[in-house]
Amino acid sequence: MLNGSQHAADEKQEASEHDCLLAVSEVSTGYVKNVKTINSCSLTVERGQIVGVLGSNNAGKTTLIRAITGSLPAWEGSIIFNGVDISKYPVEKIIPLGVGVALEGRRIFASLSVEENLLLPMPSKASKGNSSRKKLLAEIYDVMPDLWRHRNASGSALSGGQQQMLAIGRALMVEPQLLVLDEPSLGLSPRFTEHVVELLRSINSRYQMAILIAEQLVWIASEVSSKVYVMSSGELGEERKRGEWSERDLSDAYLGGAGDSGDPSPG
Amino acid sequence: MNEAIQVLIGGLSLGAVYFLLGAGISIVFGQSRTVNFAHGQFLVIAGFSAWAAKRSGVPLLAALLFGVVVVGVIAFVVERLLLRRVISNPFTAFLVSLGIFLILEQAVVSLWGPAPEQIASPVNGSWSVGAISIPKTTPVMIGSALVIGIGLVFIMQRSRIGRMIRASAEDAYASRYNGINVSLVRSFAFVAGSAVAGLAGVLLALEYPIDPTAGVTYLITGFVVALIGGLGSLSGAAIGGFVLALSETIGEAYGAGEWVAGIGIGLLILVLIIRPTGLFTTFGGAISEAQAELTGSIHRIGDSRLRRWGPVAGFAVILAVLPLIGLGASTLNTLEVALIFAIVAYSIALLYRLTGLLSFGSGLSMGLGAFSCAILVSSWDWNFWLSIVVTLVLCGVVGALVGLLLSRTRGLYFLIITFALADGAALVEQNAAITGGSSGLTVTSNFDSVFGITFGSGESIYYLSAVVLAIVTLAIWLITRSNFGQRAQAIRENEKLAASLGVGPVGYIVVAFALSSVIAGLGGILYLYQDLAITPGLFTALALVSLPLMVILGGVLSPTGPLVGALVLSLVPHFLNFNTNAETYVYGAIIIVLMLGAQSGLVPYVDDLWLRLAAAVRRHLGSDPEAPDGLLVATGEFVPRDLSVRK
Repeated sequence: MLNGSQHAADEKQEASEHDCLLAVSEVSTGYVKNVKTINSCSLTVERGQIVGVLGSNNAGKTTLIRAITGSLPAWEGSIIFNGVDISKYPVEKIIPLGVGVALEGRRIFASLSVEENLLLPMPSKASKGNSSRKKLLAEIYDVMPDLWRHRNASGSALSGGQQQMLAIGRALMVEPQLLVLDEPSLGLSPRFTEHVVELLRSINSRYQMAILIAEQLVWIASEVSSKVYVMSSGELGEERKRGEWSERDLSDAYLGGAGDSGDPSPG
Repeated sequence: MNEAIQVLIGGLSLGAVYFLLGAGISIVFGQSRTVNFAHGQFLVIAGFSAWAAKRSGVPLLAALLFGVVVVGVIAFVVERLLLRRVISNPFTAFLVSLGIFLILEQAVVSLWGPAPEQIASPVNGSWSVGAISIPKTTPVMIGSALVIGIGLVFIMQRSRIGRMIRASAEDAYASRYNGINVSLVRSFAFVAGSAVAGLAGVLLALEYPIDPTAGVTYLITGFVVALIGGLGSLSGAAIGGFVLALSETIGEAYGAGEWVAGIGIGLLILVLIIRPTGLFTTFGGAISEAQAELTGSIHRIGDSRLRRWGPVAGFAVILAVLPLIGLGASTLNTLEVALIFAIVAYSIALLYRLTGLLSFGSGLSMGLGAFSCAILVSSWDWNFWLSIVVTLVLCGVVGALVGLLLSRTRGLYFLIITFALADGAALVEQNAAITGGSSGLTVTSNFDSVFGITFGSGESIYYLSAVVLAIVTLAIWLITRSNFGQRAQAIRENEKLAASLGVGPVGYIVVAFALSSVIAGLGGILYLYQDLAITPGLFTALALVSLPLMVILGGVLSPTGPLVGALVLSLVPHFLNFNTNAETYVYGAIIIVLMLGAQSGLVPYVDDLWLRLAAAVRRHLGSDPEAPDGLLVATGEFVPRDLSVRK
């Protein structure tokens, strides 16, 4: 049954515009000068598409995400979002262009309440104004009733899974065209992870939102992405479209490269 | 009864000012996460600007506003130009802001003279209610504080900008990812907090004369208030402000004038006993990561000669030979004092090495050593050797107690508290009779020479200091290599890991403090005998800061660092023979430039340059075209600076 609905969703994805929302081309960067943590990485995300980047710890996923979203400068290569070259843009300039990010480890603000956390993000330029934000907030509460219940409690009062929902909700409040998630399954129980995956699927179909997920868990990619890239030792492999891989292939690919990175940098 | 009410009323308006001071500190240190040693000086500048404006005929309200605006502008410039460059490194920021403070203080004195001033205003005079007189300024001050307080709470809790400020303070990285321009928000918070200090200044000037050299006192007061109430809590600042103000006013009124300076410190110590981690764990926590960053970034591989202990011996030889080339008496004296300061600087470095805590309180131990010895030998006529031994033991015990008291505080909080302790001790020494009040104590030497060393002046003290320094350095080397030292350093590297292995830091911290205190006390004793007199003027707030400055300037973990720092900071003012005004400006500017350029200290900086040069040579001359800069991090968790990663 799962496969069936996935198939239908795929067709929907293929039918949407084949316009490249995000084009990352030969990007390299790192944390210590002259020492590349990620090397010559390329990927594309089309509008409305769900893309997975799979890799084990230390493969460089977070570094790649940081390079794409602007908290690490790209030493080489280019990053084009919606036709705009954002290679040299800092984070604060990229977010309003329509990129919502759920960070690794969630990073919920404890000194703000749940609702304040949700209201914090600056809306993107594509945002349709105050009333649509209120509507979005209501929708988020609808889909995540736990957040509604705890809306006046400190962000830290939520459990890990709830915080992940909050992180996604917060990213959605940007009204983004691209949702970026860094290891959403980290620290979550398998059941909650399934919730999160379901949520992502419904966000994608409801808002036609493109999603980029960096993950360690192979099955998440299989469940939900229409294509994946496998990352190991700072290098990104070729794109593999749905149907072109088996779970076994993927596991082999990323386990094969794991463990020899020796990079001192996290993620 | 009437008298009591009178005292109470006096305390109220002071309380309003203290509240504003504390609130400003909360906002600047807690919310904009910027360390600003000159915060108290902003109060002074505002007061004086308003006074000057009023004096030239500007109406009262406009003059007050002018004072606040002047401070706002200065704060903006200072933050944008200087402080934001060092925001990732609170210790460097502390010193850069110290340089700024020196310049600002000198500016006030140059512009308006060293005498305290008060604003003469139509609000002077008072109402009489029965036998009680209420100054007209009192409702003004309380009213202003109330309005500002409510306004601040509203902004911080209910407005969008308040949310952004709180978020940026907690986690800058995540805030950026929510589209917040963190540096802009922090600038805003900084200017706002500084303006609040300015407001405190103009209000204070209405009722009391403001002393242009009291910038540090106001800073400490603000800190004590903020810490008593809990950093980040505005209502706490209100409570803390009134508690402190009332305690001080009552103390003044009922005769404990000598010890009033100690009240704030006493309250602080009480808070520490009750809540050792401080009332604001986020602040302490976040800053320890910056501290971890500091440690992590200092650990580099590199075949550097400068990072070993060898060069200390080299320096020792040079220093031993130096007098032989014939230096003037004053230069010799400066060098002598530099060596003594170096000894104390090494005590700070030892404490840091063993615990990762940078203490600004060595003035406490040094003063304790000097004064105790002086009292024992001179006033109580004890034997020379016995008094030294007893003094050192006393220093050790006091050090251990302080270590126990502060064993759970970390990072910047720790820094400020140790500074406050030393400053409080200095103030007490200045006022108490037993330490001779402001004129200090002199030691009549009824033992002109011991082992052929003549005290009071001359070359023999120089050599004695050099020998003691060599012994101290050797001792530190041995301690660091000992089992105790190795374990302590392991704890410093990763306290959580050590705790999980069953090694708690408290014992190590207490011992490290005791050792450090004994060494600093030894420096104090040497200083006493070098001059045969000890005055509290030695331990001004600035002098207290110059000791850790030497360590940071030289390089906190570098073996030669404290010595280099001590020499630089003693010889530069000596040879720049300007009149005192210009000297302060230059001194301040030098500190700023040095800390901006060489954030880990001079020795590591020179060292890094050397490594870079060597790597460049290897790259270009072919033996290794891909040679990295030699700045690979080998130990500790590498935390990239800009990302403000929070655990």
